[in-house]
Amino acid sequence: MRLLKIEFKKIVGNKSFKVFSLMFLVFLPALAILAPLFVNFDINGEDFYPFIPSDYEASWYAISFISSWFCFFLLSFILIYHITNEYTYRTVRQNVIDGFNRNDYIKGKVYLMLTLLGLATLYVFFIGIIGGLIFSSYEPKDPTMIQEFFKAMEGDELEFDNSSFGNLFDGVENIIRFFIQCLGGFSIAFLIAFLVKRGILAVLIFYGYFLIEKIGGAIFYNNGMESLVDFLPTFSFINVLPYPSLMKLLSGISSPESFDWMAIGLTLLYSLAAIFLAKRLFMKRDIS
Amino acid sequence: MSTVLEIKNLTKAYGKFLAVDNLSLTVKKGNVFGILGPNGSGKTTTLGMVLDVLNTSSGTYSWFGEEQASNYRKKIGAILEHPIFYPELTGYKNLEVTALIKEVSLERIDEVLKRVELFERKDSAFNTYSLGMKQRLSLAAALLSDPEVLVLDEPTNGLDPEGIRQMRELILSIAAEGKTIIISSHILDEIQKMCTHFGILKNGKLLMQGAIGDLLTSKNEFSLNSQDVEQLKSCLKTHPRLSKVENKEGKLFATFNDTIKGSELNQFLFEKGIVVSELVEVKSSLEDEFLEIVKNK
Repeated sequence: MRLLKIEFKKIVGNKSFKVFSLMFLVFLPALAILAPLFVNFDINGEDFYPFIPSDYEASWYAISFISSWFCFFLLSFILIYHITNEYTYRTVRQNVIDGFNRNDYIKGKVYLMLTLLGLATLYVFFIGIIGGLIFSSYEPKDPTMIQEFFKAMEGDELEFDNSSFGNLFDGVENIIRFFIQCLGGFSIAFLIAFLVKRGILAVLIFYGYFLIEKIGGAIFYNNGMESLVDFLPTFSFINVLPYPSLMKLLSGISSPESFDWMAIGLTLLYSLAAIFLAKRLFMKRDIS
Repeated sequence: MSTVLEIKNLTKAYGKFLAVDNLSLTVKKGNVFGILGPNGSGKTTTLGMVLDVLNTSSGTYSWFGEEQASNYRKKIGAILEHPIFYPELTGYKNLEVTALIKEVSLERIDEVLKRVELFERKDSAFNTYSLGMKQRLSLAAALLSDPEVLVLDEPTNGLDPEGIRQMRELILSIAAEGKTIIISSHILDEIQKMCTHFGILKNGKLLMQGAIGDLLTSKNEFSLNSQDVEQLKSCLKTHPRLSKVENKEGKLFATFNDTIKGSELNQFLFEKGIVVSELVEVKSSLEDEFLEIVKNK
């Protein structure tokens, strides 16, 4: 608790932390709830809102999914800068000189990461409830309209069951997947931040890393090694909460992809490995 | 007297370069110990190692006679190089972080802020402070845990004369409380004015260590004058323990082979019928000694 308190004292007075968390708090609901309410198409003279989920399960999935990407871009940024700033300001050195045990120092950072993620998850839960309630208050989609839209987009005929919007907490378990997916991304950010110690460089490497792995995965895939692809960190993270099939999601026809336990296990494993490596690195290196 | 810090054969290598080379020294309780050396002689590296931010290549050190006892660093107040704080946090909030790290009651913060005369500015952000204020905040942070030892690396570096005077007075008043202080500096005058003991570092090696007093009286030199300088000179030459006598700026400078008291010398001359108008023991400044030692090795 003392360790967490120290980290919060450090971060709360920081301007970029305030700016980024405010952006997170404001833009996340804007994107997850408001955007679907404004995007509409005109089909046969009637308004059609393709991005309003058709039931609670789809709503939870969509909100978790969008939030996860949002966290990836904004919260990881906060985390990276929180760690690298200590190197830029050299406060990490002063902390250790002041008697901060190195082990405690890194623990404090892990606790902060988990707490930020926990708070974000709570916020997403809150947005999920609000979003679900708002979406469910809209008129259910007209089946024929969806079918027509779907045909235009994918050219397939569609079996389609327009049941009720369901119960509020149908699909709430998707925020657990959100938590795990973010944890994977954060742990990589954590490791890179400790590795390179420079804010901008760490951010670039962090984003670049996922890009390179995507490309690497594509090369694997085209060379008959597709079985390996799912074992790569990025791919296992993605499989925890995969890209929803847009059409399926918005129509609420079939429930979104179910839990991929192997991906979840791998993600947790990669997270632990990244944090452990960061710790090893921190314990062994000079702090200059 | 108990030992506060004992360094044995400490070495720090960066590749083939030895920043600190087989260094051994001992600091006793109550010492104000000056580590003296030109820039790049390994002072900060040595302090970095004993404060656990730099790993040692070989050798050991122990604080308070226990090797690597846990929490020992909370009993040390240390400033390495320039003041380091979270720039956007206020002076007070910065000290809150330090207090939590050192597990010290938050009530101490106001006390130390008053002591370094920063209490009025405690709610201003650190990056609005002048250099002197930053240094004083560093000292406040170091004092938070009421430490048994203070480690100060170049405490007056970059300060104006007024700032230097303030800092020196603060350090002396802390030393007067019987605390052990380790100061590194390349400014000899500073060490001379504040320290009781010293060690001289050059190229990572310890050239010598001892008490300041030893160094100051080790010259056995007097400056003399009288109405007839030549007569005085020839008379001095008859003294059995004289090593040399020189005429400088109308005065005589006589050096003896071993310790001799001014009164002893005066009596010797008086018996020979010479009355001196001046007889002063020349205390060599540390600077001369320092330059001599550094030059000789």
